[in-house]
Amino acid sequence: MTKMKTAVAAAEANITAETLMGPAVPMWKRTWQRLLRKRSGQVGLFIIGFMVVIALAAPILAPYDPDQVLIGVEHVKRREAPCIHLLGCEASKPQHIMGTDENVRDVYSRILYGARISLMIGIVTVSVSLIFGVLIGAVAGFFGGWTDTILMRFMDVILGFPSLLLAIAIVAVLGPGIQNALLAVSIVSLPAYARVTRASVLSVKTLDFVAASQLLGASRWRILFRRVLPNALTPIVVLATLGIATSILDAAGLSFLGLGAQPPMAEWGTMLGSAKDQIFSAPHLVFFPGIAIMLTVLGFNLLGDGLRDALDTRLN
Amino acid sequence: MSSPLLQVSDLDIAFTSPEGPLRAVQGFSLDLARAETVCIVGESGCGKSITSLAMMGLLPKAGRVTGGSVRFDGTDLLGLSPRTLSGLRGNRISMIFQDPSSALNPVHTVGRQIAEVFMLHQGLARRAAEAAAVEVLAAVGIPDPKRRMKAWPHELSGGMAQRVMIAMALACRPEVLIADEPTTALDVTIQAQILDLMRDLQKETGTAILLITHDLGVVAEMADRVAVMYAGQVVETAEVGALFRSPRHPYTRALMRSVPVIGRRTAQLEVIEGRVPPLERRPPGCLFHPRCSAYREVRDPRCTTEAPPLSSTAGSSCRCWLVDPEDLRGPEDLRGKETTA
Amino acid sequence: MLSYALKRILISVPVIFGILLVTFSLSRLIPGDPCKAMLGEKATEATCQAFNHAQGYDQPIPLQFAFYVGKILQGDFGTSVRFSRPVTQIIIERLPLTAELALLALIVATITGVGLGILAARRHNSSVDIGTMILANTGISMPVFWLGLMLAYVFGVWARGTPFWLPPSGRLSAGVVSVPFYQAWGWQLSGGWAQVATFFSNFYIFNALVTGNWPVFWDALRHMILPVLTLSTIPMSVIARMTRSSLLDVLGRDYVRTARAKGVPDSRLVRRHALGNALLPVITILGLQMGALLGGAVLTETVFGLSGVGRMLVDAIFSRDFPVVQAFTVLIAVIYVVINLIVDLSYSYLDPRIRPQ
Repeated sequence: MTKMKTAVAAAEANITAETLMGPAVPMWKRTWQRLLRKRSGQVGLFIIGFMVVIALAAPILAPYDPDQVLIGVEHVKRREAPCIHLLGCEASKPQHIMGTDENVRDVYSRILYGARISLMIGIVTVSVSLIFGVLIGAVAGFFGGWTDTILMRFMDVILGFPSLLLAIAIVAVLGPGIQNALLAVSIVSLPAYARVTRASVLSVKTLDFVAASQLLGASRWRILFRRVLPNALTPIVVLATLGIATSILDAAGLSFLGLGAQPPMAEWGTMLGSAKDQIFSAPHLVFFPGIAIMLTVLGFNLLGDGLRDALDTRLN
Repeated sequence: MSSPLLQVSDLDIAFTSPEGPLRAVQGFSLDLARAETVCIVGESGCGKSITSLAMMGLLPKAGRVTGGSVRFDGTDLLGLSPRTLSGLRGNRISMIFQDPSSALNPVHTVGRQIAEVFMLHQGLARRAAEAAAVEVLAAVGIPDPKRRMKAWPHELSGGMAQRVMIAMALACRPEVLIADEPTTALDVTIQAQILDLMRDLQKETGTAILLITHDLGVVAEMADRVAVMYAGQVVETAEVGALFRSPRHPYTRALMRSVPVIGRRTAQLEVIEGRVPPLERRPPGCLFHPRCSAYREVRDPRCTTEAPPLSSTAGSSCRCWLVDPEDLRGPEDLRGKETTA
Repeated sequence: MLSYALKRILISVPVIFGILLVTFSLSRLIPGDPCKAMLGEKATEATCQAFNHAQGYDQPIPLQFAFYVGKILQGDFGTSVRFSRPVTQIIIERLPLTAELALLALIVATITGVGLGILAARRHNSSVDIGTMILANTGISMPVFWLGLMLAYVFGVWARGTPFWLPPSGRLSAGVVSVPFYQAWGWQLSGGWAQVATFFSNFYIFNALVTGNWPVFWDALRHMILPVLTLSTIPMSVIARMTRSSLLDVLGRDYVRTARAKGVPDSRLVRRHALGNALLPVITILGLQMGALLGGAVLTETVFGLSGVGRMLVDAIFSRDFPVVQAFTVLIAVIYVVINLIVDLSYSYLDPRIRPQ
């Protein structure tokens, strides 16, 4: 989250009339080519592609139902260590390449299905905060005056909290659960989009072509959506990509604390949270979900970095 | 002139790029004698600044000297250890840059930046170095130097900042001062003041000045001798009077025609068509031929196929197929044109 | 300088006011009757009326807010429903642990982050640079709580019996007691001073240091190693990336070329001419990193069984102890705002370009 805040500050400073004078829609094809030339872009895309494939193909890839309790079905115990036949595990024992958990479920299958939830969390939270953030920023910047002051002061207050803490406080009020956790994470990441949008709206507003559109009789909303917002797109695309990474991380943190997704949902943070007291006896229950979270977050962070370079928005 | 103070011979500079090395400067040679002022003149992008940075060992990371030598007082600067070289820089050879406001460190006071030179090269303690710094500030004509010592670079005007740069460069009375477009970023009135200052200080210290500029007015005012550069090569060298009286290379002539002359009314100022070709698209043959009016008239096939050599006669040289080395003036066809202009 | 500082402080006032308003509103947004929410469904009508009256819930909302702000200004954060004790008392006990943890983590993150960043920038594009950046990118992407658990496993289980063993939980080993400095020195304190003294004596490392109690000092320090390592990873990575990119930027600036042209040797160049400029933007993000530290402290304390404000906050949520949730949220947010204020002020003092004359 703090990474995003830094990025926002830099983006605000960097949005000048000059950067906005370019073509309204950046040349996406060239951006794509540049992205593929950067190492961070390549690795990021690869990881995300990998995760998307896992999420989509989970029913095919998973050897078990993620929620199936295997007591009586197979001869396995609770929290059994990984058993991989290729690595010398006895052939008589059923194969669980990431072991089993406290309810005797196959951890590997749960990890695979967890990719669906984590990607969904990232996309939903960013979409929600993006839509409302851009709307707030655009309205504040475009209409100015009291509207601007009130909306942006409110954004400042949200930024005044350490983001995870505010998310925790919101969940404390709304009650634990995945939906409330998503809402909380969306709210705390909202100001980033609002501020960047407002900054670009403010600098575009003064440009000649906007004045020209006004003279030609275009309505304010039309100017806002057709002329002003497309110019703010570049920094927002970068922010949103990095935002998916922080949202996944924050949501996993909430779930770990027991405030987000609730058991038996196969969510990585929840899996970590319910296994944390068994770290000394069954470390595999902690190890694999953590790696999964890290890999996904790393993918979006790298893609965000690559996009920033490719789009040439200096956000640091 | 027995042995010049600074002798650059056949300097080649290349830049690394994704498409392979690009030759930015080719076979650059120049002599500089004590107390002399030599100007390197040319359009932007012709390699003047890169050449001067290479002499000081200050090329940016992508640049590399691939051949030639820079002999200063007998030793080749390019072969020196970084340590020995930094002992010379700012001490016996100094440099000032184009944009004085970005060339000063924003988080150090003016005084501290000048005093550092004395501490580095003369081993003075801070107190003594600061006292010496006040003196040089006064010498470059900064009023109230004691108070100015505590000023921050952002508080100075462009002209003041360039004076500070000059003070810093001349603090140790160097034998050579390389000035890379020192007045380009300044207002016209300030430009004249800075040039006057440089000339006055030169008289006092006997420093040789290598002045890089694109401004022929500055050349006329300052230079003893001139080297004209185009696309990484020296195309003409001459004593300043000779150059202005009878420029020989078509590029030099075109440069001259593009500048208004006070007191003479010209029907029309000429513009040299096109631009200096970028590094990765240098034409074959003479580098200037795509823009050369002489070539357009004569259509000498050598111009497009073979690179002309730099042929020299007493005190001057020219790199052009169309100029007779013995003839001190330019190509025939152009001479007629000029009189009608 | 003074007027700038004053202006900057005045700007934070509405933010703090907003924070109070938000936390106050949050506590009023709790679905259902606050009395039922806090005392449980079994609370009778009579106890609820008494409770609502005691808490002021029967007053009009704006008046409640004024009442709430007024009490906080007097240092009264209400009473914990669960412990039936003043929340201020709990803060005095728990905050020092969190502060000690966050401060140590900030120090470690800054020193190693800046060091790694400089190393990477000086050897730009070398294997050192690439390695550092891989490390930093991984660090940024790592769930703090997972790293903590893995460290606890590696150092607490694998390394058992070796000198590398580190305690995976708690603040002090069993049997080790931290004697508050005022008791060690035989001070007789009462009232407010006793509270203040207790607060500072709860910084165990600091307390052991001033009383010269080395066994306690080392024991407390050893218990802090893993949590601090865990908590500092993300800020360290962010700081390393920032330092690197900032230093690379500065090394390409004209004034660095000027310094080289005047004969500054390479060794001195980075230290004296580039670092000062390069670290200015790093300072601006230190305040933001404090946010990551305070949020991460909640997770780290949960992992390592440390009962600081973060852990208490989560416990309070589950036991529906809303006065504690509210108080701790306000407390941490205000600390965060104040730290950012300090960072801003020191930045403006350090950068001559924006330092007011």
